[in-house]
Amino acid sequence: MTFTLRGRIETRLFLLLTVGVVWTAIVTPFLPSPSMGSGGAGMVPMQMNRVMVSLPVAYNALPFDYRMTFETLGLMAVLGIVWELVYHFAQQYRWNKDWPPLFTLVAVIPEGIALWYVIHLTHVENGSWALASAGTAMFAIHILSTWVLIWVAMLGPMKVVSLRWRFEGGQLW
Amino acid sequence: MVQSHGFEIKDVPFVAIGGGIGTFAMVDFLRVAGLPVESMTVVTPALRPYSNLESQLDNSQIPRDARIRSGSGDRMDSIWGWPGYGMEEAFRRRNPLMLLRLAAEPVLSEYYTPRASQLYDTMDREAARISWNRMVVAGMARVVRKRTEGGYFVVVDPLSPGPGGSVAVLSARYVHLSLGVAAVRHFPGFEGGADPEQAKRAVNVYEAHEHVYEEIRRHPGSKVLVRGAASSSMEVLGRLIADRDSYGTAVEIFHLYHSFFDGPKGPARFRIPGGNGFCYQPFTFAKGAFGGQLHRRYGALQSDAERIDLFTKLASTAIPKRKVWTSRIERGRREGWYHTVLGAAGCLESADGGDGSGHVRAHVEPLAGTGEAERVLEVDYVIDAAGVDIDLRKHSLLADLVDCGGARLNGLGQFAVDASFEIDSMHSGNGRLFASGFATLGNPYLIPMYSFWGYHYVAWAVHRKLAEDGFVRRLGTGRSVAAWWRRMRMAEP
Repeated sequence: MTFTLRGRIETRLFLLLTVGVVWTAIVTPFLPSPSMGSGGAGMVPMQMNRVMVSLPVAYNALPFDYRMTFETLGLMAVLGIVWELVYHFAQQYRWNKDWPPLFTLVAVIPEGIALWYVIHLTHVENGSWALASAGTAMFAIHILSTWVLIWVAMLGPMKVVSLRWRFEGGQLW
Repeated sequence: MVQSHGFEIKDVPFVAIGGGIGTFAMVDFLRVAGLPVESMTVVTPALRPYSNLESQLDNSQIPRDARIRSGSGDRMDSIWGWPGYGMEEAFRRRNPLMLLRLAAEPVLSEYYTPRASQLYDTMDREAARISWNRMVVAGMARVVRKRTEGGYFVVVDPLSPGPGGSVAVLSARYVHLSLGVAAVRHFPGFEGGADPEQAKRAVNVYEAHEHVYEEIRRHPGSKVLVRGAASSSMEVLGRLIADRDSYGTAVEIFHLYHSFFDGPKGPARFRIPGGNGFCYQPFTFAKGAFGGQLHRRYGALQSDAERIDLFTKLASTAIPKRKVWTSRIERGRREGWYHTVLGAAGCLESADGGDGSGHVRAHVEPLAGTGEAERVLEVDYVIDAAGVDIDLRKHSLLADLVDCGGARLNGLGQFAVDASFEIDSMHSGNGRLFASGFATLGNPYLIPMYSFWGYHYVAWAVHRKLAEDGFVRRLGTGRSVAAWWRRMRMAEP
């Protein structure tokens, strides 16, 4: 199978929403959180970093680390749509009009770096902007591990989940 | 009427005619979707679903242990294609490096391709799982006709006639046709059976032609003309050159094809890679035709002319870029025993072969616009690797459907089908006649009709139509996952 642009976007959103969300829920407590040193999870004042201020109280009651990882995931999904447009444009210069899995795997490097700045810009993360800072390890482990899981799902298991996905360019809807 | 003539009629809801890989994909899909053995009959003269493919691959120099030109992720024995051939081989050989290679293809390595034996063995396993043999009626389907009550009659000529007589009649609501090609291509002027000596010397790559290699070994210095620049011609060259090296055949090779690629060709956004004289593409069709953006682009085209144009470009005569192939040819050019001949096949004449001249005279017409004169090559053998003859009239059953059944054809002279690959002009009451493979080329929906993925695509589309009819249950996520797990345990579907 080969992806269409729509298929790539749908696949990315679907996998972030399923594999990404479940994995983030599992892994977040084990990530090296910088907030542990400054008072522990859940101790960070609420108004400090809220992008989505209108979210229900239940969400704000989530430990700080969870709010950070899930918001990162959400931004990754939104930015991803832009990235897919870029890849699709680049793909036009390939005769086969395909996008090898290895390209998708290494895309985590530019995407991850861009995302790092975006989560600072949006105050999802309030630490240093420097690429090597207290929050980097947590961010990098979270993003990398999520990315690899999603990539593996795209290599095969998705075909089992949806036959349509296999035959219609990765489209699910 | 049929009954009044005293034929015994057997009712089967779904009859699949052909029995090759196109039929196998269809039947496997429906069995996985839950259709019982009793609901399907396969009419085929072949012993196994891959018999025909195996003989074609064998003849075209891809024996059991050689690798075919197909990827890891589309496998004939699984409607999901995962885990793929590559992953299976990596596990069997306990070789995790193979998994890395698969993940890095085609950027850091050439595409993985499975061995022919893996294709056959896994199909055997799946055939046993779905009880393929219990569905088979060994014979030739001669005629398919609409039934006044809806559905179709299929007249079968059994290989071993039963007590009911020499003809069996099946009555089916649904019929699926996947007959493959009826004929191979030869040089114009090829006399076939009328000139047995010529027929021995001018062969098609898909026919048995081992005798040609044996003769070449017996007559050192023979001249061979190989026609076509697709991968089957590369396999032939590989054999000729391997024999040249091992047995000192000193064979001289003339390679005839249309266009010489000294580099990539085309505008930046539609540039096909090439070099060394050949055009490079890893598979028979450009990758994006397998469901990707080229598949979409094709589906949006409005006219047959546009479709045929895009089809021709995406299924162009190309070879996978393999170092072993290009280096062989470079050596042949350097050492002067390999010659590229550009032109079109003119006609073929037999010659006496005296005075060291060849036994076959092959006329080569110059390419349009070059202003060159016709060339005549005197060679000892011609191996035609320029493809197959897709004329569906070569199948008497299909010709009859057009002449007497009223089946409509598309711009390429193949069956006009709708999006579920139904020949809609043959619709009969609540019955439907489906087709896949070569006989549906040029349809407005799908390009890679003769590929593993393409056969599964058609099966998927047919299954959705049958689900709409309420004949089979649709394989949605839950049922797909459950069916996949049963297959992983090799449990009956």
